[in-house]
Amino acid sequence: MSGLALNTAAGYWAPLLFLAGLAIALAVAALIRSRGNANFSRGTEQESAFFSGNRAPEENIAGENFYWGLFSAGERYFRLLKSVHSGLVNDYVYCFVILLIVLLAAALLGGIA
Amino acid sequence: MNELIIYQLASVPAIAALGIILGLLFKGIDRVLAARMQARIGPPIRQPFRDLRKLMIKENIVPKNAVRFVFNGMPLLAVAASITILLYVPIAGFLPLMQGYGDLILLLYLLLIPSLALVLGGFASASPYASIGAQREMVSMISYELPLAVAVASIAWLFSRAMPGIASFSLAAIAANPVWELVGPVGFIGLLALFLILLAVMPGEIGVIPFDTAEAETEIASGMLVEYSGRNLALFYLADAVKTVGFASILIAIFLPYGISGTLSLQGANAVAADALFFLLKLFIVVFIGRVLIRVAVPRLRITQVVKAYWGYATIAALCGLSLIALDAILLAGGC
Repeated sequence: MSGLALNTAAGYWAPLLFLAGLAIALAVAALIRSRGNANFSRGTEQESAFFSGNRAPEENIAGENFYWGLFSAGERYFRLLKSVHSGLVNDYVYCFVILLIVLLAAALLGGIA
Repeated sequence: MNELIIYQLASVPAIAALGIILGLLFKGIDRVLAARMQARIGPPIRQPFRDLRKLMIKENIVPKNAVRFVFNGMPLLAVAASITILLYVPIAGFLPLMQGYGDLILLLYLLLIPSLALVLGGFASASPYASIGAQREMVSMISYELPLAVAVASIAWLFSRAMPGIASFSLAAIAANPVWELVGPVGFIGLLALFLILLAVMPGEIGVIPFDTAEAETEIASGMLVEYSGRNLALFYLADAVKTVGFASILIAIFLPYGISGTLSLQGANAVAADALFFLLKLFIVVFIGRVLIRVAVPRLRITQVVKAYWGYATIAALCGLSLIALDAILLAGGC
């Protein structure tokens, strides 16, 4: 049944078989879940989000704050990236030419077949 | 051939049962060892099984503002994805159940799904704590994926160079041809670095201290899991246990694929049993170093420290490992 698998020189994957395996695994998980208690007291304080005894604020985290930890940890790196993206076409062409020189040099040195 | 596929699919529940039992067992061992290292007696090894049973009889509360189908669906997806990982990994000396139908790249994506399920479940909880936890989990995922990808790509590159003609991302092929035998002394050091990197990625992947900032019980009350209870929480508990076995099995397949039956000159059922027991020993060692030892020895990091640890130190170490392997290949090609 190798016809099921998509083969490349580096790897392989059979999506249909993957989906079948995942579906059976989902059925196993659903079976386990069905053995548990499905009830709770509706319409009581149980349904309120936990916020250390206080009323939970309605507003959620804004999209711009999702990656706060990442941006905060890599502040210098992202600042550099921002400064490089000046919006001027001349700057982008300049970077493109430098990259071409690097690639050509690598090719000439035999690093790229 | 069709019969073989039916047999493979019919074996999925057995692999699931094996993964769940092993996962809970190692969770119990983890808790006992962690307790002993902290001069506590700790719970009995079977405590995770009891925890699971107790969670199953507890109320399954769904917050009134939650997105119900996402909130209830994500624990199912987390368990299913964790079980699916085991289908593509050699376990206990046996070839993967789905041998030839999925490679390391698929496994890298499958490893992401339980974490993504946690993130989506957290956002669907309509809880500020869960939202903060989900946000942190996303950042953690972005962080540990980079050194993990570099390490896996390095192994695949080494394999493609040493064994041309064989799919370089095939985990079964890598397990059948131990990577340590493909390198010289310099490459050996590089491989050792990659092994240590993957061990360091393990606590991030399974969300334990010091990389559990997304849960951080004492700070954000379990983060993404704060609103989960009963059977939904039990499923996330299971997913964590099974994913631990899955990730450790990947590590074993890449770096410790050796059996013991050949050394002991065993054959037949004895060889199978010896290799299975030896696999459990390797699993114990990997889980002990990648989960128990690290979480007991190191306190929880802040999310910015998690990013720096993975994007900075771990990625640089992984690139150094790759450079050493490349240097080794050049030295070997030059006859040095």
